[in-house]
Amino acid sequence: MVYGHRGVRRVAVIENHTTAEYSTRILLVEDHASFRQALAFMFEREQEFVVTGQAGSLAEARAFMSKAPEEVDVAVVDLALPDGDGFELIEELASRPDVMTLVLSASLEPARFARAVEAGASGVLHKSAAIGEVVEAVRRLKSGEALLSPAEVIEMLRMVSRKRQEEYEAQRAIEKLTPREKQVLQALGEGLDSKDIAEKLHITVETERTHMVNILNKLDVHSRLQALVFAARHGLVEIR
Amino acid sequence: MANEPRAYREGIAAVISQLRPEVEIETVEPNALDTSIERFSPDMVICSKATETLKGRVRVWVELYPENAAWSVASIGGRRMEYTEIQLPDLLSIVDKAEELADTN
Repeated sequence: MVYGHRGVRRVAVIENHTTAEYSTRILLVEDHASFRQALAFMFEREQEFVVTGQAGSLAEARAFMSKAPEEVDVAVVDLALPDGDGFELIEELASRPDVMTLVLSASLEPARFARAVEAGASGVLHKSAAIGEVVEAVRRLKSGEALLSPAEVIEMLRMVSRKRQEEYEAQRAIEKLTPREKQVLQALGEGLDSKDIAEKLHITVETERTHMVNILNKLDVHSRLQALVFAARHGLVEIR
Repeated sequence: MANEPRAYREGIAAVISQLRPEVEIETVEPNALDTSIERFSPDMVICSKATETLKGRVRVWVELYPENAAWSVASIGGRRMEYTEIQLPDLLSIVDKAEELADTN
């Protein structure tokens, strides 16, 4: 559901002519409806803000942006939405030079904030921030103030770059594994020990150990546990 | 109000305070929930994780988005209700019911 947006407030100014002074128009993209509505309330009680749209998913946000693209100055976007991560939406919003994005997320992973900045977010805030800080952050963004220092932006971009390199190297390591070695890893993920893995795969314990040594070398890790963590992190095994 | 994250706690508390000015609201950190129940004897609690103390001592409570889930649970005078997507008016309505229950006692 996309909530209807109300008209832009116009403020009359003194002198004989009237000048239209626009409020900051805000789109809220947040799936926790009661918080989104409370946040809308907090913005709306400030005269300078008007919440023009509320969306609970990426699809709703996109529908709003295609219907009323000129109705948004600042989008406040959660990263974890029911139909996906907010990164693509941030990129889409960043392609509009007149729209700024503030990420408001419960994620504790700095890499996700960094990725949001790389995607084009103008600022990032954790949901443990005070509600006043959220309102103030939008105010600062609209006034042209940077929420992140250049050093912070550079550090975040470096982090994304490092993560991407790690992911690339991990994928290359995974590609080196043989189908049999992947089966050994999967069995490890099922909680089996060396003897049980050998039994399950109808091989000797010595052969299982050879496979494991090869796996450790290819993944550049030093123990079965590390191999398991690596495999789980990269979706190679399903932990049951 | 003892739910997290803080932005939720403060935002929802501000709305209730504005729309239900007769309601007295305390916001506390989630780990202070049980001691705050002892101290304030609240008629209603909104939290992220319902504790045994809460269930035993507070007649109206809402477990709001536990572990950042999409759903919420409310208990109103022992009647349990589940919400797949709780809305702000739902929370205000629960506040009203808590007031009614408090008035009848």
